[in-house]
Amino acid sequence: MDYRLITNASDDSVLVRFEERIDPEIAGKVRQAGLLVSRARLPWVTDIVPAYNELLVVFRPGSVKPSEALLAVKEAIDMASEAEGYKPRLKRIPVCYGGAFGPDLPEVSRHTGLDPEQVIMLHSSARYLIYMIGFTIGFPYLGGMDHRLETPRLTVPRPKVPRGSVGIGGKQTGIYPLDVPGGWQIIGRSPVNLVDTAMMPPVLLSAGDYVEFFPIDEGEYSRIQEAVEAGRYSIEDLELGGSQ
Amino acid sequence: MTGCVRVIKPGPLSSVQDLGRPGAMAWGVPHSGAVDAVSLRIANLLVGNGQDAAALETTMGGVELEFLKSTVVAVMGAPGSVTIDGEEVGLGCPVEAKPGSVLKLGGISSGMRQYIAFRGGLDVPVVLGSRSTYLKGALGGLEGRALKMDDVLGVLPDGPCKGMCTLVEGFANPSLERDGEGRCLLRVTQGTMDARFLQGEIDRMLGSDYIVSTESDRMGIRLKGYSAKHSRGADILSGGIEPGAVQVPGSGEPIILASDRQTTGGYTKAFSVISADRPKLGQLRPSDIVRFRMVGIDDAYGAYVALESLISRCTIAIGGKGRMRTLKLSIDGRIYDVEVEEIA
Repeated sequence: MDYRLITNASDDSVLVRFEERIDPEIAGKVRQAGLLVSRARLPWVTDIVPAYNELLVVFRPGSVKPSEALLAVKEAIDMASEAEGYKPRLKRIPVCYGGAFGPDLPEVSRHTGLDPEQVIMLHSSARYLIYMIGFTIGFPYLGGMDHRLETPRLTVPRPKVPRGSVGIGGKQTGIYPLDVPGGWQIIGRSPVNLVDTAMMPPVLLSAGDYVEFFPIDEGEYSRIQEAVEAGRYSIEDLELGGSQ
Repeated sequence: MTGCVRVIKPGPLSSVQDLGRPGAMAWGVPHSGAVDAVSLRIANLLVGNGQDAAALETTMGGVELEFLKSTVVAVMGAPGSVTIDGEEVGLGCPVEAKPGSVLKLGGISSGMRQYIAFRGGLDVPVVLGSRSTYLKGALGGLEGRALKMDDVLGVLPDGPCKGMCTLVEGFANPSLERDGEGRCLLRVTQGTMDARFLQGEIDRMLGSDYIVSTESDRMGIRLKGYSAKHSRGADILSGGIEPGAVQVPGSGEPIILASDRQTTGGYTKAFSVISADRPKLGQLRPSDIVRFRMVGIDDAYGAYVALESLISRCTIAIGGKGRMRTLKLSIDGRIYDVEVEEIA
């Protein structure tokens, strides 16, 4: 693979770095490298962490010499692979925009000069690539927001943003899986659970997959929320097929 | 589960920890676990537990626990007074506490954290493979939070436990090691973004004494001292954070990432503290002095193997026929605990 750097990042990790830019193609290479390392079933590996342009492979300290780990990871990703590429999946997430769930929708509308309805339409008609999961449990770094929706973060972050909140921060958009402090403009909320530590995997979203948001009204929000609480709601996985 | 201990005083910050939660980074779940893993592992060995049993991590002493049933306990870590019903028992000595007995951790003279191991190990639910508490994410441990007054903790059955142990004579806890000038020496390996610092800046960091800031916690140890200068700013495209990473944000003053480190981050990183020296982070307290020293990656591996060997040789079985040794055996990347008793 055409990575720029492969090296030990510590005595218990190997880093693979690709070209430094936010680009679905680069993210695809990172995802593919992660898949190859995972398929190599290196017994000492504990974590494979994809990011925008880097793959971090962490292993148990002392279980393998760092130089041997480096070589094994390099071999795994250099293998001229005829194996299938990663098949991204799409998850469609219901969002109740505006009102009490989206207190900053008026501000986003004012800043962008778009009607609230146009903001909702633009936000819910894009397909977002999950570049990575980080910052907090299950939090997706999404790419693909319409540039017309760009709105600066709040000048003073909120001490607590309710989980499920959907926000815009500068050029980014995302959904908060847990109650956390946050400075994004909150335009809506989803009744869906993004984190459930009793489930495997414990998070709804994973790097390399795609997300779409679709608008629901408050009645639908309540119905879905009840179903979620009763364990009767699940989001279907749509296969997008082929390598991205 | 039946209650084993009741918290009379939790101290400034006490939480249930084991050796952490590897394998969950891709979900954004931090590693967590004891910051001073060496002291936790040894405390467990002393009471006959496996090294990875869940124990109590306490901060700066000031803890009082009442036992609700007979329990073998041992304390390791920062030096300070450890009493049971007013009688000094000291660090590193397993003691059987009777129902109604009170264990007190007094003030500590140096270091930061103490680990109280209970025979059987603390019984809290396993979340994503670990009993460790991740405080910021309210995950694991006792309801995902720090302990408070009147909390009751249970222990698991001690069926799988081995005999109690004591420390070998003259054992010095490597987590508390200081150099001749009282500084904590942290060995580091080269980072992956040297070009993001101006020429010579990494060397200047390595040649400087740093002071531990009060704004340090289980997530990171903030340091005051030489501010490294970046070549292209401090912000990078967010990426996975390697264990031991030393972040350098815009201020130029380093932050050593510890157990509750976030899984990804957007600041430049100067180098990484080697795995063998990370347990020392658990014993750094505000105003301690830290010095970094660069070592090669093979030396870092060697240091970890040496640390494992030290832990395997640091305890002797009480009442056993001979010296007990626990060995860590790595076969195909899987690690096995092997116990050897010298009876000849």
